[in-house]
Amino acid sequence: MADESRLGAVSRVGTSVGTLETAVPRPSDDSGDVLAVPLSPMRQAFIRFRRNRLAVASLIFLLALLVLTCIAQWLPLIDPTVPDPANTDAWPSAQHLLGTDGNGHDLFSAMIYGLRPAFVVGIVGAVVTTILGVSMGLAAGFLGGWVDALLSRFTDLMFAFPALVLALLCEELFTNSNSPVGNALGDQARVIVMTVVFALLGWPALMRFVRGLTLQYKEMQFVEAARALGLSNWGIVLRHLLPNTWGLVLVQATFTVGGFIYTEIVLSLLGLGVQVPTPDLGYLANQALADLEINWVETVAPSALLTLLIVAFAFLGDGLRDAFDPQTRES
Amino acid sequence: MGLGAFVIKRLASMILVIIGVTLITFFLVHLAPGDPIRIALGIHASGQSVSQLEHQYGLDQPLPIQYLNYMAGLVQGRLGPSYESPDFTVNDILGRGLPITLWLGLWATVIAIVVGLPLGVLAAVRHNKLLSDNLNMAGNMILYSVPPLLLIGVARVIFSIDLHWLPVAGWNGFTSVQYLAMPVLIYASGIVGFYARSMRSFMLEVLNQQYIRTAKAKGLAYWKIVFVHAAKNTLVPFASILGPTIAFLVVGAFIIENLFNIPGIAQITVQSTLANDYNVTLATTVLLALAVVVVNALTDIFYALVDPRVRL
Repeated sequence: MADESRLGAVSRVGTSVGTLETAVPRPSDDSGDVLAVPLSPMRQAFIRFRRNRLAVASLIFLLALLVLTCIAQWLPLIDPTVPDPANTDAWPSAQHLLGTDGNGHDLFSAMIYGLRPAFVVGIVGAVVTTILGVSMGLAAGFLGGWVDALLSRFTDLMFAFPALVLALLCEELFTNSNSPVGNALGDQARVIVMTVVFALLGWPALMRFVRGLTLQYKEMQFVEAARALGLSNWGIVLRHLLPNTWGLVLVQATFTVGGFIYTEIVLSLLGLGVQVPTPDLGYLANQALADLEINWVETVAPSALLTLLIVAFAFLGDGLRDAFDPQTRES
Repeated sequence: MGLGAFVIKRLASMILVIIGVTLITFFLVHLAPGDPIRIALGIHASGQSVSQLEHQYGLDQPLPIQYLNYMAGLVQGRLGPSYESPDFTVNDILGRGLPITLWLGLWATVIAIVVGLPLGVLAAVRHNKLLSDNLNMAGNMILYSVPPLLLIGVARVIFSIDLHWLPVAGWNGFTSVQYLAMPVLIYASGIVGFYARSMRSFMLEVLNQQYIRTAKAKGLAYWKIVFVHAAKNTLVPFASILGPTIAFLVVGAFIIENLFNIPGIAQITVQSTLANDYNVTLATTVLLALAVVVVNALTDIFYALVDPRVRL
């Protein structure tokens, strides 16, 4: 099956080369060699990614959820912060699509609004942590010497740190009622503190990964050539090393988003995540565990959505990895 | 570098990491607002009794001195008093929680090895067969990626509420299978999926090697090839999943112990954090970091043992 799809990928590259023929003048020797037509690695990866139906479906699903939660306040949804005291622990009905929770909040709209903390923590946290990890990895790998030694030891330290425990500690320290930080940030303190903590703790694996890639590329001839042409260190890093790591970094970042969302849920389960009145998927599912005997939809629906979210990020990451790094794909 | 020198270097860097972890946690905890003694004694405590207790615990000294005192105690295995429950030391509290956490972790790992590894071998040996590879791996993918929260909700609805077979949650001693079954199985589920998927890819890689073909060609029984020749060589890549296993176990412990109300280390960590019982939080953080660091060091030493190139 794997072989077939690989053959398919080749023929597909062939056909898209065909469509490019009109735009790109063909080399005069007309050898019919596919490689002769310039097709950037990014474009090749995109073509490979497009063929992976599961990954594309995951991407569409995630984008749909993202749009849905962003425009939630303009949709005809019941306000999830206003309880309906006449309808508590209600089963799904026409009025409340997925029923209500123990306080009478509409579950369906709470779930849509509840995606916000997950997306904010996951995406913002992953973007910041990726920037940190990539810049430290590039610096350590390219500069070497004492910079490498220092950054690598620091990475070892942060890698060993139980990130969940530190996040737990920071949530409690900075968002309790005595904390000036918590008071300054107001209602959203927990989401903000969580995003900052994840961003500051999430980079070690990425740093090691980028450092390894940089060490590998640094010895290659294209870097030597760039240096011979007189390009500065900055130029080599920005124009030659960085673009070569992009694809694989994107893969890692996708897995990071999934990981952060998962940790956000775990913190919510421990009572240290996002709190009322802000709706949050993990909080919803956890609160409802106590009412399981009365109405199991309340806990199963949000946790099922969470599962879909995490699985979709995993499929997306797998698809991106296969697209950018076809050699490592599982047979 | 000889093996001895490598081990010493690795252990030295391990100690540095532990010092770093204690340093960061200690200052984070102590610089944060909120006076643990005042919280422990309640808002009506007199200033005198607060300062008396602070003096007794050494909290009136400068922070660097406090840190050194703490480290001196740590080296001797004394983790200090608990501010919230003054009758107990942190050692007492950890002594109660640690065996419970280790017991759960042990069973989860045993189940993962006994169930996950054979499933992985099966999938590799009967590669691309519908039932033994594709469906098997799809199932393990689900086990690996479904968060325990959903499993707990579904399992409680079926086994506790509908069938009344198992209690919803709780801890009833080390030997109560009824109480342990649900938390341990859900704890293990993710690791089972992880082990099965890892074992399959390790095994596939080994089975594609030339020496396996040679063994087949000379007429060796297939089970002998798989379990004697191939299995041995999956051990080396298998060491690489020890680190992720520990990470999995630590995060899992937080979910399982808190949702099933099991008084292990993870629940103690959360409760002490919420109660501002700093010495306990500090100790559990160091303990968890120690677990991660020791396993990583052992993995590296194992690699150095089997593959001399690592020592360079």
